[in-house]
Amino acid sequence: MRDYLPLFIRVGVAALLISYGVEKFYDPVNFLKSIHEYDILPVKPSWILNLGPNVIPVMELAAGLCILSGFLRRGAAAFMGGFLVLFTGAILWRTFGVMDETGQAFHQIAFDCGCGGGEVVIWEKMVLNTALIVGTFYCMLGRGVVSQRIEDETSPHGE
Amino acid sequence: MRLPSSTCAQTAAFAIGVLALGIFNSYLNPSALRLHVAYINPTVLHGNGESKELEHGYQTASAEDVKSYLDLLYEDPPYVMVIDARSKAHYEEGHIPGSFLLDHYHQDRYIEELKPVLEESAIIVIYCTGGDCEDSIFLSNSLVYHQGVEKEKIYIFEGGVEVWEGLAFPMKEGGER
Repeated sequence: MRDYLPLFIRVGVAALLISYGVEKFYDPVNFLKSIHEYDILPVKPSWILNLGPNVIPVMELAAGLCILSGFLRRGAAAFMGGFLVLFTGAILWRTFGVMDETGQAFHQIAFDCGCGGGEVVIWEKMVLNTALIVGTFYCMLGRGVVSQRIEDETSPHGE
Repeated sequence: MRLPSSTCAQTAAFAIGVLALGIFNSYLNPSALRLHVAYINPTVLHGNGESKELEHGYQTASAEDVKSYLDLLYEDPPYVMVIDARSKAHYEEGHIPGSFLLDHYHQDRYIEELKPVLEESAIIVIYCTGGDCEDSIFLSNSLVYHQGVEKEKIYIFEGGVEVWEGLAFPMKEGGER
């Protein structure tokens, strides 16, 4: 079971990223509106805001596929991990804004963070994103599935 | 071709690759958003070097006003035009009978066909989902500042589909007006 743990983590991280990417890819308008809600990126020039719904779904899909296949795995995982840290910080920033605006407690806050899946409870999203960040950095530092298999098969017995 | 071995080089290769793919996606995928189009275009007042977002500044129409126009919407030439600024999928789920589909985010698909009607109509009512939806305002800004429609002709139905359905006013399903 322990031998398969790295594989489970890698497949889990990749599956989550691919599912997020597919959802955003097929609904770029909703994702554009979500990004605009953060009020971080300027409206003009328009290409800055429009880069988000064009690049981020492709990035998530590509990162998922790279992590799964092993192609540019470490680079994809490092980039995605860094991006998730920034994006999670932005969600937290917006959450504090909503708390100020509505007077609600942190555990009561729910909104569509543009993460996929519509409106989400933010503390749950924070937990999931933290797990995803740990998972992507694990994928960056760990050996690839294929390279590990080759190494296991070619290593002399007893070593 | 050898793949970059260090994590930094792989990260740079990945970043450049996805940026290129994202830009290709913007121009080659018909359902993607175009990079150069100002989809989010709030009404802004410029003065003394300061920019300030305004309330939309358009005249408004109530659900009852729009209902009273229903019989006029099929006239030729049109006097009143009602525009649904939502997506095609939402329009087909249910729209105000007689309204034209003009998805704000994919205007290029519809605008040429609608230009004569936009020019001839004396009153143009624009709606979207209602609630927090700003697409009717963004579309109005786009029509006024990019298509030359007179601002005085435009009325925003702020309640949108939410209020219309809440009042149990008639809805029409499918792609036909």
